[in-house]
Amino acid sequence: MSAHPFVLTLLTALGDDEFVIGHRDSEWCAFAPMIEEDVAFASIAQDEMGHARLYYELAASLGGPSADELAFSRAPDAFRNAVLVERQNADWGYTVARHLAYDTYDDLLTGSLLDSSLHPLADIAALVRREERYHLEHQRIWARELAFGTDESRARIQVGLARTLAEAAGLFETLEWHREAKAEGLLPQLPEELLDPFVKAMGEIMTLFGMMTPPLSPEGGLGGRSGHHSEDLVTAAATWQEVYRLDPEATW
Amino acid sequence: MTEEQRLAAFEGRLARGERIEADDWMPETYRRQCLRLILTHANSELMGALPEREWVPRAPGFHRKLAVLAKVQDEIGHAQLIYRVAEDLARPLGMSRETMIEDLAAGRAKFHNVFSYPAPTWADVGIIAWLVDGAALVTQGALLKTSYGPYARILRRICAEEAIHLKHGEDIVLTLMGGTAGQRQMLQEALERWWEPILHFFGPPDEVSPNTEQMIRWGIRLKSNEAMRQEFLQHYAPKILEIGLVPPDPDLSYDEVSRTWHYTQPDWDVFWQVVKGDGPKTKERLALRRLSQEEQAWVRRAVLGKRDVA
Amino acid sequence: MREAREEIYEVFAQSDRGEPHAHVGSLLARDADFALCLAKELFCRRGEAVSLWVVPRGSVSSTSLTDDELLGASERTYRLGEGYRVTVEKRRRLKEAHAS
Repeated sequence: MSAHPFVLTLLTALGDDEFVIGHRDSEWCAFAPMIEEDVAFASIAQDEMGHARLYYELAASLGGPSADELAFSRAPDAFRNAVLVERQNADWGYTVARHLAYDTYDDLLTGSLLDSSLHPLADIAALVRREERYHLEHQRIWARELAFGTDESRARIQVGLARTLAEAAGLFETLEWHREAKAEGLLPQLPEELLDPFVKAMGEIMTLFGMMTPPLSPEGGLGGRSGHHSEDLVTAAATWQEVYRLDPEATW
Repeated sequence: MTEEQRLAAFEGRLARGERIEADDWMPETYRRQCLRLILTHANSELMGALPEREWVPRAPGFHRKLAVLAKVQDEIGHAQLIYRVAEDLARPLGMSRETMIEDLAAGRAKFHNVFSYPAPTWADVGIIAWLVDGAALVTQGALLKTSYGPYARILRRICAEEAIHLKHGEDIVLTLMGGTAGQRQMLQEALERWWEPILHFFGPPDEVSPNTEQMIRWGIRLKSNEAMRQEFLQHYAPKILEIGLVPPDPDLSYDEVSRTWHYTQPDWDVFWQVVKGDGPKTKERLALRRLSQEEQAWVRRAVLGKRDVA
Repeated sequence: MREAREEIYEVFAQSDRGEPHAHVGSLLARDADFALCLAKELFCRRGEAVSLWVVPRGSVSSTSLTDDELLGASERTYRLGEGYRVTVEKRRRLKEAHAS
């Protein structure tokens, strides 16, 4: 498979979503609500960043820059993650809600990637799915705990879900390079084709936990896939690239 | 059985090298001394995570970012194991993990001096993971044979994980030392910052209090402060010197005759100041801990119910 | 709205297929599936186990210290291998007698 630009863009975008949400997850380290959860959530953060590295390394093997360069050297407007995953952490309700939505999306995405014509990508998807199963289970348990906990916890997860679904549309934005990737069989389903199953899956979870399904704004959180990001990504990237940029030629 | 008979039976068990378990009868003093030791350890793991977690968001490169995150995860994992042991031991005293962490955050509980110091550069991450964890491994290794069973058991796992942290830390140090002039300088400065706190870590030399004597007699702790500091120097001083790092002590040297390391005594007044809560970063980090406890209390209320939750 | 409560769960891990589950520690959780979810990362993040059990502490019944004296006590050499050291001697004598 030759390295058409859309191949590298696709792989980079897949990695960017994982890296950015992994970075946000890692910011909870030592400050999670319960000590046991701190340990569990740190594994989820590591998994996500590990997945990012897999996608990036595949891109590197096809002629792209190294995984470290991709994550630690690019300017914010070169990133192709959805705006949803770059948002600053707020309370635990938002984190659970956002991760629940992201993992639900990721489940659909990697499920379709199993049939990718780019076999190494299908292999990565299989590996990612093994870990994502645990993530989804973890998120569902937390959504349940908060929904059935106290009035306050219920209110907070509802607010978290509202904020999340207000910006979730960005995950499903479909650009030209997505269409090129689908034409070549790399991406069996366009992101926009995953929207209906996503809405259905989220609705089922919310019904199960007796929560209201907030509306998904069709215009919410768009722009990330074409490099239009919020200030949140600019500040986050400045942080995670801080030491690396002291000397990008050095070995750390 | 009279109290005297119970005590004699208890000390008989210790003399035979038997381990004491959570539900066994034990003198009140034994329980409290164990608890103080164990709680200081638990608190230290939790506070120790704070300087290092500052560098997780900024770690350079995938390998380091994942490794530092995994290390801090281990420290929190250790805190989980140790607080569980402390909670079970403290049950007759009416303490819970929630109240223990509240005490810590309110500045009422002790934790190791080293975690009150700043970690201003990436090189500090390497020094901490290699030498501070190295020091902790010496003190924890010395406790593997502690008479209190539940503590001894978790120490095995903790020491195994600390041994991995050492390798990670040493790797960072060696990479920086073999890097650019800027990296080497960063590392040298970090070593100079941490040298005294690390020597302090083992406690004042020949500190023989009635408490320490009792704890040694009961097998709660087994080695003296100086013995452990010497063990640390035996192992690490040569490794530091042989790569060209210069500890800020011109008198640091090995005496072949006494087979001990000579070093300039650190300022013990500073040690007592820090341990009493007046370290450079103590108040700030305790405030962070307090804030986190308060901000996340709603989650614990929802999930764990009313168990002394603030 | 369910009643929130906290339980101590004991965790047992099987290091490899065929090995017994061994006690590795305990954790606080609201219920069993939460406990399992947490146990995976607390006790198995390095892949140290192939199977995990979690049991509420209240469900564990145990013997007490005085029972252990009872559990270990009596003279039952007929149950132990060392009760049969004399057998070696008997064989030696018979062998000698037969050879002569």
